[in-house]
Amino acid sequence: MWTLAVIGLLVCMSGAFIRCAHGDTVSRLVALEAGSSMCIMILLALGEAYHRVPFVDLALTLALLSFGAGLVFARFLERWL
Amino acid sequence: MIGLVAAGAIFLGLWLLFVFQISLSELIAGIVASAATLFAAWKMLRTVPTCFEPRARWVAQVWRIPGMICTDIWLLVKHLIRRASGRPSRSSFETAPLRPAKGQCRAASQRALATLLFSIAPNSVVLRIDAQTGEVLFHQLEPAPVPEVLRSLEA
Amino acid sequence: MSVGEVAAGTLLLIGVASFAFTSIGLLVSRNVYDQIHFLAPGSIVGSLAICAAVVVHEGFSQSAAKAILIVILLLISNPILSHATARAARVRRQQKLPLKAADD
Repeated sequence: MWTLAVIGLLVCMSGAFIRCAHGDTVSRLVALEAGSSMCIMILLALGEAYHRVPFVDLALTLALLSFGAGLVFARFLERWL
Repeated sequence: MIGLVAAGAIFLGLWLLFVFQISLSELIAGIVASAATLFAAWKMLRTVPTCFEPRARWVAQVWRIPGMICTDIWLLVKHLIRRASGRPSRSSFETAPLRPAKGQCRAASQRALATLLFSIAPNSVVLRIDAQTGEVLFHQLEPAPVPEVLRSLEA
Repeated sequence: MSVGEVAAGTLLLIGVASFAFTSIGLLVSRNVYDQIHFLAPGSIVGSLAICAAVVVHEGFSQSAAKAILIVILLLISNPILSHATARAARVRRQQKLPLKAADD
């Protein structure tokens, strides 16, 4: 059940990959943010599928870091890049 | 001072939740980590002064969030069906008034809460709130009336 | 299958469907402002559903507590990131933030 959810989320991530590959700069940032939230859920589901609690720690860390990274990218794209 | 102590207690609680056990060694590790975080936060706040003084009735508007999310998800579904059938998007930039609160700190808190509560609903994203006039510039995916939450945030 | 497993499975299905909705929205949207709106279904509904599935599956445990923390973080960060990204797109395009919608 959890492995199927991971496969489903990976398929959903392909949409974000395509938008990341083709699109203007800010569109790619939006796709990155979407991909990050999908990745967080994949890690959570993998942790449940294989009963590994450290994967959930990874998901929490990714949630924190992707928030900060998204803000930094947005600020840089607004001002300097 | 009270704020710092309360923040320290919250950080310690979060650490104990993270390790999911209450033992002496984890308590000591949590106190050391919370102290380091508080010191860094205190140093940062001394150099970059910030204030957040919202009115209680503004914060209470969070009860509207689930209803806003449900209605807006339906609007997004309608938009996706429209786009998938080849019809053009009806997204647009709109403005709405928001009477600014008195006092720089309170007005900044009002703008921050308005941005958060207005942007959490999927159908609208705030781009800017003018500090002098209080005009809210936002992007809407599907045409919809301005949510009540904005009126509730007025001074 | 027990009731808990059926409930967890249903919640997982809702979560994956929300992220699929986000993914399709990203692909069909014509411009960046439309794409930003489609971040919300996945980050809000999808994450709520999947984390609820973890809580239902595990009961009160370390994983469930961390899943709740993840959901709270995603719920708060989604509107902030949407606002920051939309603002960045606007400033890049216009080189300033206009005060009136008619300036677009």
